[in-house]
This record gives sequence, C-alpha cells and structure tokens, in this order.
Amino acid sequence: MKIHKHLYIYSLILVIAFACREPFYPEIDRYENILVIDGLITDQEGPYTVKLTRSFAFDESFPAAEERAVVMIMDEDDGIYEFIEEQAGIYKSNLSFTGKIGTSYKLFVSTKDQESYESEWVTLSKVPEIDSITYEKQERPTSDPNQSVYGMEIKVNTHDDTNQTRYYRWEWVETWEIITPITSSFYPDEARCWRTAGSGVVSIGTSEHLTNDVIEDYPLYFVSTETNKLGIKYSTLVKQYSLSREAYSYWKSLQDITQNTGTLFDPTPAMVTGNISNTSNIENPVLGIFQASALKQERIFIDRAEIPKSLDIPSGYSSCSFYDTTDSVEIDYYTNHGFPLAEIYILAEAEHYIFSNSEMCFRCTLSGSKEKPEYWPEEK
Amino acid sequence: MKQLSLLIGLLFFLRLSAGQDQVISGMHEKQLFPRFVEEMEADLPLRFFYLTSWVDSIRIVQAAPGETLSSILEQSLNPHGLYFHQEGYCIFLSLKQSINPDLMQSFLVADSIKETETFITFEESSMAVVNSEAADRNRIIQIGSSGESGSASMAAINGYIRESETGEPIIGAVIFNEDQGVGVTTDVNGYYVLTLSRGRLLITFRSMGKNEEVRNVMLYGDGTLNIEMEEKINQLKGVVITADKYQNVTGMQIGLNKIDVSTIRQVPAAMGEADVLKAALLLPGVQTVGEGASGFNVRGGSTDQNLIILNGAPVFNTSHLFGFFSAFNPDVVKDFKLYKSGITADYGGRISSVFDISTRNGNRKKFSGQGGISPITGRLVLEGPLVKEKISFIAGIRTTYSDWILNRINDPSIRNSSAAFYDLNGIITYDINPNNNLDISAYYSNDRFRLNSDTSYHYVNANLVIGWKHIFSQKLFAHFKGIYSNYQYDISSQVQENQAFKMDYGIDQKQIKAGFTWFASPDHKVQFGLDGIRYELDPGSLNPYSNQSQVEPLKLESEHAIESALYISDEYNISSRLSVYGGLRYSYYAFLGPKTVTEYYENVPLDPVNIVDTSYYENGELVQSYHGPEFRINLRYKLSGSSSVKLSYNRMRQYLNMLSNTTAISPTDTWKLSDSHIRPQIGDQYTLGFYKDFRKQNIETSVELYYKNIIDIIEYKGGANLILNDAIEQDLVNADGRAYGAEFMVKRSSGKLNGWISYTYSRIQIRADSEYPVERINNGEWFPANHDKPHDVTLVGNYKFSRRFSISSNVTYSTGRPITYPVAKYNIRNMTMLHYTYRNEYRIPDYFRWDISVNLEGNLKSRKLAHSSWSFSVYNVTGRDNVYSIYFVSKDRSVNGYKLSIFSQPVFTITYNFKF
Repeated sequence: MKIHKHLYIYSLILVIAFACREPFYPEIDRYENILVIDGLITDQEGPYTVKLTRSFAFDESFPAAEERAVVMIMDEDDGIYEFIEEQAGIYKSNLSFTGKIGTSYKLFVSTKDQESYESEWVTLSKVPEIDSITYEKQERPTSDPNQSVYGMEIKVNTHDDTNQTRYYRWEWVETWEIITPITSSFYPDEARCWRTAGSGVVSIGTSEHLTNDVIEDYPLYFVSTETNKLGIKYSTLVKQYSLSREAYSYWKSLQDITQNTGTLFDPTPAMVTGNISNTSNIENPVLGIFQASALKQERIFIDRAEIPKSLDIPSGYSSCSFYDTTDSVEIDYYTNHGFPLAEIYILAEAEHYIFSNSEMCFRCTLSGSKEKPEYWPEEK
Repeated sequence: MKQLSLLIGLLFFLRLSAGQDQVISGMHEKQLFPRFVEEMEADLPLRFFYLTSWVDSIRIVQAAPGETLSSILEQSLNPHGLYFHQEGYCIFLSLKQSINPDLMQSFLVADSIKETETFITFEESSMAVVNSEAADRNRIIQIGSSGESGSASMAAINGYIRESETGEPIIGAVIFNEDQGVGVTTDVNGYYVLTLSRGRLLITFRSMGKNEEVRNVMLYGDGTLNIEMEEKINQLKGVVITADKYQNVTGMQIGLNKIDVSTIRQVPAAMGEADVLKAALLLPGVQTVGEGASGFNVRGGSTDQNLIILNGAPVFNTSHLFGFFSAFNPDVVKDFKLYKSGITADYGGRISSVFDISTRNGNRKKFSGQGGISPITGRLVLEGPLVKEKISFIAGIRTTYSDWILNRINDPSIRNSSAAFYDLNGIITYDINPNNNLDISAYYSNDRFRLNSDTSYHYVNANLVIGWKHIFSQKLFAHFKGIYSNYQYDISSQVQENQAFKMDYGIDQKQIKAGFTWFASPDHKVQFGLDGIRYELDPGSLNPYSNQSQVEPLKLESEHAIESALYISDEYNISSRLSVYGGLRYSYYAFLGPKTVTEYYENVPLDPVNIVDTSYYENGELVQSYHGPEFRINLRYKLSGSSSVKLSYNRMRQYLNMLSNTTAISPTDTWKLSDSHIRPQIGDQYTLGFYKDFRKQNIETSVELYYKNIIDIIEYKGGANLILNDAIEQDLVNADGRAYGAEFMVKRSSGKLNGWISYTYSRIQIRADSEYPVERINNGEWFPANHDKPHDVTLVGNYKFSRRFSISSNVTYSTGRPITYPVAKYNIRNMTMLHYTYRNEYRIPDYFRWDISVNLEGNLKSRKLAHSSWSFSVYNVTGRDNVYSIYFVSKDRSVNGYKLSIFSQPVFTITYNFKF
C-alpha cells in the first residue's frame, strides 16, 4: 500500500512551503560492531554469494570483512552446500549447486570466534517474467521552489496469473556510454567508454491489496538530466525477485528508516531484524537477511534521440579545460605544473601541444570501461 | 472615574458602631500620606478610601508618638480641605465636605424583614431602592433575619452569578471573604454556596474578564445573593485576564490552569489567528515535540493521554492542516481549563490531563457578531436572542480561503494541489425557567488536502451535545448530557489507475452523562454521577476508487466497546484552613463482539508463530473486560490568607489509545480500543504544590512538584505497521512510564504589565522490558520518551500602553527533544543501511523562540458601526532555525545527515478583527 508514500508527499509539500533543511553532521560516539550476513540464492546458475561483513562506524566508509567463517546452506532434503571464501568476507558456492524453485533452504554461518548463526527456512519462490520496462519524461520539484528537474522515470510492469507472488523486489544495473571531448592519439581506444552503476536504493512493490497480482507502471527510479547518463545512450537491466511477506516487511522497514526520512511524520527508527538469528547467544544481534528467489530480468535502452532536444544534458566534462599551444615556454610551464599532455598534432608546420587539466578528460577508462558490453547494439 | 464613583458610593453606606480610635505609637511626621496609609493598613485592621490625587503631596503632621490616629488625620488633612470619617475599620476621606453619618443611615436597609425565608436578593433590592447598579453595590444587603440568633455561628449564602449583558451563568467565578479567608467558586450553572461566620461582611465576587463586585452583607442566617457581573470594559481591548484571582491559593485545585479567550488572543500567533492550543503550550508542564505538530504533551504524557473536550464532547483530531492550526474557532471559545493533576472524579478516560474547552453562550439580549480576517483564514461569529432572555444562539464559521502555501510553489503538480479546511460551531441555549436550562451544541470540522488532483486526504470531526441543567432545590441540582462524537478520515488516490483506492477510518462515540451536585451542608459539597460511553470503531477499510481499479475491497473487523463509570466525591471544608476533596470513580470497560480474536500461547511474544487459535465472539458477547477504582484526592491547607499548600493523588484509567509511532501525530494515526491483547493504560500521579499570592502587587506564585507512574503504555516494535493491520498486537509492546518534574510560576494577572514567567523541569521515561529481545526496547532500560524536554522557560508578557495600543510578547526556551542516531552503518545488497539500537539517546539542539504582537484598537467612540482592531504579529522574531528533526538518508552508498526546521525565518502576519 502506498499510503505512507502519499503522506510523505503531503508533508513534503508542507516542508517545502515553510521549512528549510540543511546538512547536519552529528557527533555519534556510540558504535556497535555487529555481524552482517547478506545472502541470496536464485534459480539461475551460481555461484551464489554470501557476504559477511561487520557493521562500521558512522564516519567510516567501508566495512571490515568477516573472514574465516564456515558458511553453508542446507536444503529441506538435508542436502548441504558449502560456501568457500574467495575474497575476504565473500563466500561463494560451488558451481554444481543451483537453487530449485519450491525448495526450502536454510543458511548456517559460524564465525571464527565460535558464534553460530542460522536463518529461518526460506522457500525459493518463483517470480513471473517482467512484462515490460517503460520510461517516461517527467518533471520533478526540487528544494528550490523555482527550480524543477527533468528526467526519465523508469517503470516496471509485471503480473502473476496465479496471484501467488504478490511481493516484489527489484534491482537494476545502469550502463551508459561516455565519449571524451577529444580523442587522444596516445590513447586512441580510450575515447569511448561505458560506465556502470548498481541500484543504490531499496525498491520493492506489492499487489497485496489488489484482486489480481498485477504491478502496473510501478516507478522504479528516476534518471535526472542533471547527470550525464542520458547524454549518448543509456541502458538498464532490471532484475526482478519475489519476496515473502516477511522479507517484504524487512525491506519496507529498511526503506522507511533510511530512505523515506525527512518528513514531519517520521517513525522512530529502530533496529531492523531479518530472518537470521544467533543460535549460540540469542541476545547477540545480527544484521542482514538470507533470501531465496527466482530471478527474471529485462534490459532496455534509451537513446539521446528519444529525449527532447530542449533538455540540456551535461556531458560530464564541463570542468575539463584544454590548452592548445605551440609556445615552448608555455609547454614547459604546463609540463612542469603537472598538466597532462592530451595530444600533439601538427598544423601549418607548427607542433601543437594540447594539455588538459585532468587526464580523465581524454581517458575515459579512468571513469569507465572501454570494453563494449556484448549486449550493446551495433552502430548503424 | 470609576474609582471615584465607587468611593463616593462607599461613603454613603457604611455604618458600624464607631470604631475605637487607634493610638499610633510610631513617629510619622513629614511622611507622605500614601506611605503612611500603607503602613497603617499593614499594621492595623484598617482600610483607607480616597483618591490618590487628593493626597499624594500631603505630608503627615504628628506632634509626638502616642497620638491618636484621628488627631493625626485631622491635623494632616484638614489644612488641605480634606475630611475623614471612620466606619469600623474603614476610613473615608472626603474633599471639601465632611461626611454626614446620618445621611448614610438612610441608605441602610430597614431592619423590618423578619421572616427567615425572606431574602434580600440583588434583584429585589434593585427594584426596591434605586434602579442603579452603583446603589446596589453600595447598599448593605441583609441576609437572613436579624432575629435569627442563638443558632449556629455560621450561615450559608447561596446564589447564581450571571453575566449582566447576556444573562449567561458565570462558571468558576470566585466568591470570597478576605477577613475570614473563605472562598468558593461557582459551578457549571454559576451557582455557589459560601459558608461564613455571621456578622457584617464584605463579599467579593471575581471572575475573569468581569468587573469585580463587592457586596456589603449583614449576615444573620442562610440566604440567597444573586449577582450579575459586567464584562470588564477593557476586555474589548484584548487585555490579559488570566486565571481566577485568589483561586491560586484558596481553590481546591492543584495543577489547574484556566485561560480565557482574551489571553488566548494576546498570544502572538504564527498563522495570524488566536489559537487555543498554542496558548496552552505556554503553560508550565505543557509541551510539544515541534512546531506544526498537532497535539501536546502534559507532564510527560503522550498526546493521546489528554482528554480534549469541547462542551463535553471529545475532539479526536484537534488540528487543521496537520497541526498548523488548531481546530477551534477562537471567537466561539469562552475559555479552557487544563487539569494537569487534581483531576476531579467527574472526568475520566485519559490518564494525563483534561483539556476542557467551553464555548460562549449566545447573547440573550441583543444581536451581535464578530470576526477576523488574516491572509490565511477568515472567521465570523453571529449571536443573539431567538426569544429574548429565553433562547439565544451563537454560530461560528471559520475557513481558509487561500491556497497561498501551495501557490508559492513553482511546481505544476503542487500548484494544482489544494489545502482547505473549515469548521462550524452552533450553540443554542434555552432558559426554560429558573430551574431548567437546555443547551444544544454542535461542532463540525472538515479538512481536505488534495495533491495534484489525484490524491486527497480528508478528515472530519463532528460533535453534538445536548445538555439539560435541572435544579431540584437550592441544594441539589443536576446536569445531564447526551454526547455524540465522531471522527473519520479517508485517503484516496488515483495516481495509478489500477491501484486507485480509498481508505477509510472512523470512530464513533456515544455518551450519556449525569452529574449531580448536592450542597449537603455548608461544609460539604457532594458530587456524584454516572457516565456511559459506547464506542464503535472502524479500524480501516479499503475500496477501489475508479472503474479500472483492481483494489480488492478490504474491511478490518469493527470494534465495539462500552465504558461506564460511577463516581462520587465530597469537597469538605474541615476548617477555614483545611479542605479536602475525596473522589472515587469506578470504571468498567467491556470489549464486545462481534469479533474474531487471535489467541496466542501464554507468556510468549505475540508472533504469528505463537498463534494457537482464533475464536469468534457473537454480537454483543463479552470479549474482554477491565475495571477498577480510580481515586482522586486533593487536600488544601492554608498557611495564611495568602499562602497555601496542596496535595493530590490521582488515578486514571484509559481504554482508548492512539496508535502512533511517529514523533508528531501523523494524519493517519488511528485510535484503538483496549482489547484482549492491549490492556488499558493506568496512570497514578502524586502532586505537591505551594502557593503564595502577593496581592498588593497582584502577583501569584506557585510551585508544583509531581511524580507519575504509568503502566501499560503502548510502544512500537521497529517497523510497526499501523495502517490496515488486523494483527496490530504483533507490532506493539507493553511498556511502563515514569514522569516527574517541578513547575515554578510567577504570574501577574492585571495591571498595565501582566503575564507570567515559568520554569519547568520535567522528565518522562519509558521502559519496555521482557525476557524476549523482540519485546525489549533499549535492552529493557529506561529511555527518554520522544517528548522528554527537561528544561523549559516561558515568559509571557503583555504591556498596555494605552487603551488602544498594547504589545504582547512571549519567549520560550526548552531543551531539544531526544532523537535516535544510527550507531553503525552496514552494507547489504550493495546498499548502505543504518543500524539503530538505542532509542532517543541524543538530543536535537535546544529550542528558542521569541514572538511579538502589537494590537491596535479602533477608535473608542461608543457609536460606530463596528469595533475593530488590528493585530500585527511576528512569530520567531530572531529567525532562529529551530530544529524540528535530524534525519539520515542513505542513497547510492552514501549516508547524509540533515536537520529540518519548520519556521526558520520570522513569520509576519496581520489580522483584522471586528465586533459589532
């Protein structure tokens, strides 16, 4: 149900009308170091990953890995599948193990300090095909009442004729093309790249109050024209998982306290517990969730031509400067001051040097990959 | 001038056997006369009556210590053409002409009335003597018969106090005799009984916003004295008149604040309109979690623990536009009483406070109206007699006519949105005969908020009260009320065609109240009655809202319950110093079928895995009952005429709870009846208060200390879902609460400069402990509630420069409310999440706000079309961006903290008010 979302919008309006919001950097002296278990198996071919990390302090950026743990999954027929630590904290299953729809699984973890954890039984449920991924031009308000931002809203459509799925979660991987302002002859293959980013927010949906299990035009996310994503060609791969009711409310709680905040009616945040518990000591908390779900995915492309010309899309290189010179004093100056040399060319018998303020400006591999994805359509 | 006429009046009526002449031992030569009077009045049982202008430059002439008072006065005054005359303890000065005692004699009431049952009442005397109020005031009124000797030394005076212009009974007026230190207040019918030692007495009548009345009484025996009181002229000018004078010390009440509409009006308003609830927030012990939050917290209680009643009917949602306005039209409101403790036995059902709002009765004598216009709202009230002196009405409407908030936002979807509200009040009062009075009061409020014309939020309060007052005898009367109160909201959305829905919530309360007051003897005021409530609650239903909608209709089972109570109380004046109020209320609550009840294993968390069975209860079948006594005890001991100490103990039981896991009341919060799984909340409060008046300076002071213990507070598990949840008990935990604090207040109720300053220290802590971690919050330790704001300083001031111009200002400081910060971050599915454990461990920055308003009255000519006034106000003068909340957003693997402020700039408003 989207009642909360609506409330969010109401109070957003009130907040826009009167209020002001500013960044705030709190001093938090408490820190709790807790094991985080992030496990997912699907009906697609493995290997599957279970990530074991520790929670980290508010002013830090990366988690520490939980190494040397024993991780395994048991199925309802007592089959046991071990996970091997491939990198620090990343445990992978054997290729021979593939999740089966309708089978129940349970995750066991025991850490090097002798704490044991196990999940509840989780049934790998099926998920219907994605009917379509659509997109639509949209205008959104910003915190500045005189400004709005344009972009594309990406939506998903799906349905389950058997009315059994009901709860859905989506992830996506965005890929977009970037082209440097100049092509350097030193790096001729680094002018055209592709950047990739994963979904950074929880995206879930439900048809629980509908007669039929139908998800229609469900908004997944918004690609703003303030980024360079839509500048040339953009693609997204949407992955669809099914959720149990419990897993849905787990994600919903996380969404409520980490993403839908800032209204006049925020709920008091609290710990969100998943389906895993500490069996050596029930009092010791553990974070994370073990999920088993079938997976369906769908890819779409959006070309620059589909976006109104009137919309300005930044190239992502607006901060790049190039200095074209033939003067040896200048050349020495730029060289000695660390300006990377982008290009040398000869014009009218003069040797031109082009310096830039950043190597990124002519080498896209510094912010993306020059390997063209195999699904990327061939140019006409 | 009034002072003078009163003085002249006084000159003509007093006659007692000549007082003995005092010998003055000290030396006062050359002392200024007013200073001399002050000292005399302080040392001797004397009062001087004169005009200051006569004497302010006169110095005392005294030859030697030991001279008599009369000789001193003669020597000092006569050279200036002043004369004095002493009647008992009263000394009257007159200019140019000495007072003729024989003339005064003729104004005395003849001693010819012999029959005990013959009373000289105000009305009779006004017909008999002169049809002038001044004369009435100045006569000696004889009560009882002079032949009535030999019986008890005490006698009781009873009577009604009414508004002279409208004839409306005046509730809560104070009647007292200063010498004997005895005072009482009028009840809901304006009736009082005052027991005094017999003899010659000055009885003073006081009420907020009314001119003080003083009557000279010769009390021989029991009798009646009815009084009509005039509206204080300056009330028109919006001057402060605060809680009843002397009530502070002499009243039985502890933890009671009474504020009338003129005080409410003077509080600078953020939205250009006087606001009942915003005024209440300035009282010690009353707090809110933030600006724009609806609801308030009294002494650590949560917002649903306040019984907010309008003419007796509960109002479930007290705000418009999600808390930016209160739902009460200030022009219809007469006053409100806020019981923070010492709640009398006739109230029940909420554990923290009673917020009793009374509306005015219509003018019984002539038609009139008033209203106001501000940039956001407009209001109009009309009143007048339907049948002169018999039936009167008052009707009010208030609405917002501008979507200015939304129009300022340059976003097409929001510009197409609208916010609208209105409220209506109507009251009809019928004085059938002196013994029967009927009133009907109706209230309706409606709020609508529509977003982009496809999503709307709508809520409605509707109340109807029919009251009948009946007087069986002068010692026993009754008040019957039939109350209907309804609150409902709905949310509808057509954002997505196939999900278009409408969700409805509703609560319905039907109530019957019968209350009797019996003046059993002069020292016993007994009240008893019964109260019956029937609740019907529709916790939520969901329906499709368009033809294409695939929303499946859903309706949660409705809830039914009855709550009944019997009460009896006695206010017993044990001695002139000691009074006791003892009350017992016994409440019985039954949760009734039809209902399907989920049963869980005993002593385990209420989880889906622990469900045993479900059982179905037939219509009307008892599902669960709760009952218990509630004791209400108040004790007042007068240390002196101007100071007292009071004690109270209160138990309250609450069967109807609001489910809200947000900091501020959210528009989707619902009320829930106690049932098989949710026990009623029970609160005990112990209060100790000290009161001292400095009457010369018109200053009242008080210190109140309290401790509160609450069991079965509802707390929420993380991620609790409160909407359309048919197993709500699984998301709740039972918790206990404790609150304690001290409230200090210094108040000046009248004078050019008036207002109050208060400091409050208060704490409220919650504990949810259980052997199961899932039912524990903060490891089962005490943690501060969302509205725990320990320090609070409030200053409210009003300065009247002239009759047309006054300035009001208030300053508020309080500790920032608690907030929960994340104690760690963690990554899951490549997203960064926040981990919260300890609830409310940190605090937002302290709150500070300063408001000013300037009130300008129109001209003071008596003949004009309408009396008008302008009010300019600035809310948050310093523009401090008080933090409403601090929150964290996680997006794309980065977490950012933000602070949100509601009014970060000064808010200016102009309001035009009129009265005709």
